[in-house]
Amino acid sequence: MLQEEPVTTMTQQYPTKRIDCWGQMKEIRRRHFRHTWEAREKGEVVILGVFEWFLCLFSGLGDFANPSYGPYYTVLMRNPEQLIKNLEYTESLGFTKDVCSSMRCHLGQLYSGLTTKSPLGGTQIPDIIFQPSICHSVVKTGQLASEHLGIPYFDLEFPFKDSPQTRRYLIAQMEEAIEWMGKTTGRKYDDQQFLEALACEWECMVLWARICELNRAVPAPLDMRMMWSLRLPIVTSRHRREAVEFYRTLFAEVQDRVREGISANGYETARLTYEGGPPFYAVNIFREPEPYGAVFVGGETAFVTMAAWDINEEDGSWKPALTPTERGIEIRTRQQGMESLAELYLKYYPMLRWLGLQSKPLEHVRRAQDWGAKGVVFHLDRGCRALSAGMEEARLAVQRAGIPTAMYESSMCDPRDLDRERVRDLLESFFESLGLSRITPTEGPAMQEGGNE
Amino acid sequence: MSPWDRFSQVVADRHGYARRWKERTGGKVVGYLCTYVPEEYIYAAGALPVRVLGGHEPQDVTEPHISAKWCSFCRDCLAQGLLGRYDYLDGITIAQSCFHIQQTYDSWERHIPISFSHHIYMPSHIHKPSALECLETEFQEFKEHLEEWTGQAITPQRLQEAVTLVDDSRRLMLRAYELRQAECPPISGTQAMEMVLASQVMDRREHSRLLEEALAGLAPQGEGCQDEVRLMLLGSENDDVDFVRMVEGLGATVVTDDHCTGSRSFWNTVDATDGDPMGAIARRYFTRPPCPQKDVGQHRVRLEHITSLARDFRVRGAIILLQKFCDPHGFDLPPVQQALRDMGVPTLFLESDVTLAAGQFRTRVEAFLETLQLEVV
Ligand code: SF4
Ligand code: SF4
Repeated sequence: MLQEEPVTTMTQQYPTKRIDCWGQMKEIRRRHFRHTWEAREKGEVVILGVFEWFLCLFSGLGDFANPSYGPYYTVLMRNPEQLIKNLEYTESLGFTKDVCSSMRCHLGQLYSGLTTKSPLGGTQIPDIIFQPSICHSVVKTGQLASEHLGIPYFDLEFPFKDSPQTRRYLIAQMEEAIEWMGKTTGRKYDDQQFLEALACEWECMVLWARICELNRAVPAPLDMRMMWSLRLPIVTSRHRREAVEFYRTLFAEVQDRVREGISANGYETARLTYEGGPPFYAVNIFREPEPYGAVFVGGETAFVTMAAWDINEEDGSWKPALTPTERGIEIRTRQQGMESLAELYLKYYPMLRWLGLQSKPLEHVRRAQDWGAKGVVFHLDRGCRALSAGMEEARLAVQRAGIPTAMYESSMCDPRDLDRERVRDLLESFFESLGLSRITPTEGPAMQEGGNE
Repeated sequence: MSPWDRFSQVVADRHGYARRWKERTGGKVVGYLCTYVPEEYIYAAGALPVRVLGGHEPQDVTEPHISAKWCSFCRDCLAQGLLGRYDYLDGITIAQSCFHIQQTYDSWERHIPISFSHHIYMPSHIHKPSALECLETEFQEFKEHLEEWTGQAITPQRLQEAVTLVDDSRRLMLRAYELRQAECPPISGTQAMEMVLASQVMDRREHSRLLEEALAGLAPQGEGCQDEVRLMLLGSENDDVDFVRMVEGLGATVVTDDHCTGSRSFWNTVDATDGDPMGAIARRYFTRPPCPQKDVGQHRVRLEHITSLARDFRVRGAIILLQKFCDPHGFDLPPVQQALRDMGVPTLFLESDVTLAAGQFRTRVEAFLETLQLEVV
């Protein structure tokens, strides 16, 4: 006999409203897109690569554009059929389906000639390829792109460990990079511009950590879907003043939301965290808890890959880092700037620490506890070795700390690997195992337009 | 028993060998998970380095620690640890490599009681001069940690002796490989693989004695190999002796390889002649034939090495064996295939799982060999 799913009628628990500065974020995104493809006309340097770190290092060359190997990446994520064709094309060239789906998506575009084809029309040949390596996949893709396009290539290794020697190594690579960029682009490196951009990069990452910290409040002022979009200026523009302005505004706004008890979407029957990346072609996976009135209040792609945290190594607890200025540190020279940048990423950026694996489980547990998560959903990506490394151990630690977990598998850029219905079933069973039931809102919209698109 | 049989026996009974070594010497045994770990320091500390290898059998103990979507070799290694097969190990070490094997180390450290563990941050971008200083300091820390744990000072003299010990072993294996360039190699691929695997799990002093004896008894040419196809093996970690035996049983001779369980582990030496053994050791690990995880610069090193092996050993075909989910080798697959194709060497690509029997590939290998034989006709 079929069983009726239990549905609870529930009055909206908390007020909710749209994010006022959402439009500002969209404007930055729009400007970034145009800038990427108009840079050559403006005489700026075009640096090909997939990176969202160290953007200030390139600012010494003046303003620059950073297209990725696959300029139609986002477009493809909205068109799964085309996306699959693109992936199949990469596989037809001999790359196995087991290599990172994100890079397979880039490679398909590279080999089909799209990398230099501007979405605004015409072509734009990059000056250099620069690839900081957070994982093997990305640095190999840079190497392949350099070979295919015949463009000079610089690879920069991020060590996964903070020690005096790894800092020296990272700084030495920055020096090499600066010299190499000057030589290959024929431009003079401007230390002042580097230092100004460095200050922006620091502040954006610290502000974002503070915004994430505000989400400890009950009700949470933001959910993961909002954070996923609101983090975009950090991804593309953390070295720019406009990004700093945006995060200052957003921080103030989120503070107001906390003060006024404004929630992400009206309900908070349970707080959950989401670890691992979402499938980019199905980002609405972040909204799966909504029919149950539950909220993803944070997770790896919001907290770990974007922000500067001062994590206590003993107990794994998280607090936002302080900027050098807040710590009274003056940065006047290129050397000081490089040291500060090495400190930012090796000491205060959890992503790199996590790739060393050792600290990951404890820090997972503490974050789930401190953000009040009743359960944790893990997305094990089949191809992303960086985000999935150590995930099983982290899950084990969270379970041992008494927090229930669920884990689903897919690939962030390969729709063939996501069985949406099975994952939905799995998540629904998980939510129900947490004692949640579907709710029927009786008052007010659960979501207001614009705040969570 | 011939030295070759002894190698084979040690490989099959490597746990028994290490246990007996321990009983006999009272020394410590240190497991290592990647051939970038500098064995020289472990020998100099008076311990026995033993490479952790898989058991080639189905297992169900690693699932809570490493998902089934990761390289089966790494899971198999961890399984051996969790199942207690390596209970004689006193320590476990790794030099930073791919995320797959890194997880094996991490889970090992968490769940298997052990009195010593050490992670060496081995830079991946080894074409950069600045990486060398980082590695030297990492090796220095490894040395100090070993000294503290074993109570044995690693003096320059002890280190030099260890360098000589390991270098001699490498040179002997290189000599053995050179013999395989002969028209009719006196050493089979199976024997060669067992020789290298044995060097990774047994005391190199004994290994070298045996190998010298083995080489002294060899004629420069083997017999009865006129119609056999000369093959090269390359790709992911591969310690599957049964696979090589199966391939050779089908009318091929494996004459060389680019595996970390083969030539990559001994192709170059330290040659510490300038009174700076520590610096020389670091340089040796930087300049050895790289694994794909360390061949990431603008100018690839691997392709040149692989094609020169193919040329020097006059291979007619190559089998590229990839462990399922091994992305470091996965990214190199098309360029490697292309480079070999460009020099007229056809390739057979096989995706493997160490826990599955080698026989599964029989038909494909047979078909591949037939094509190669036809080409000659
Ligand atoms: S971080 Fe993950 S998704 Fe990104 S390139 Fe690396 S493996 Fe691929
Ligand atoms: S390189 Fe490949 S075979 Fe070797 S440990 Fe890593 S994933 Fe496994």
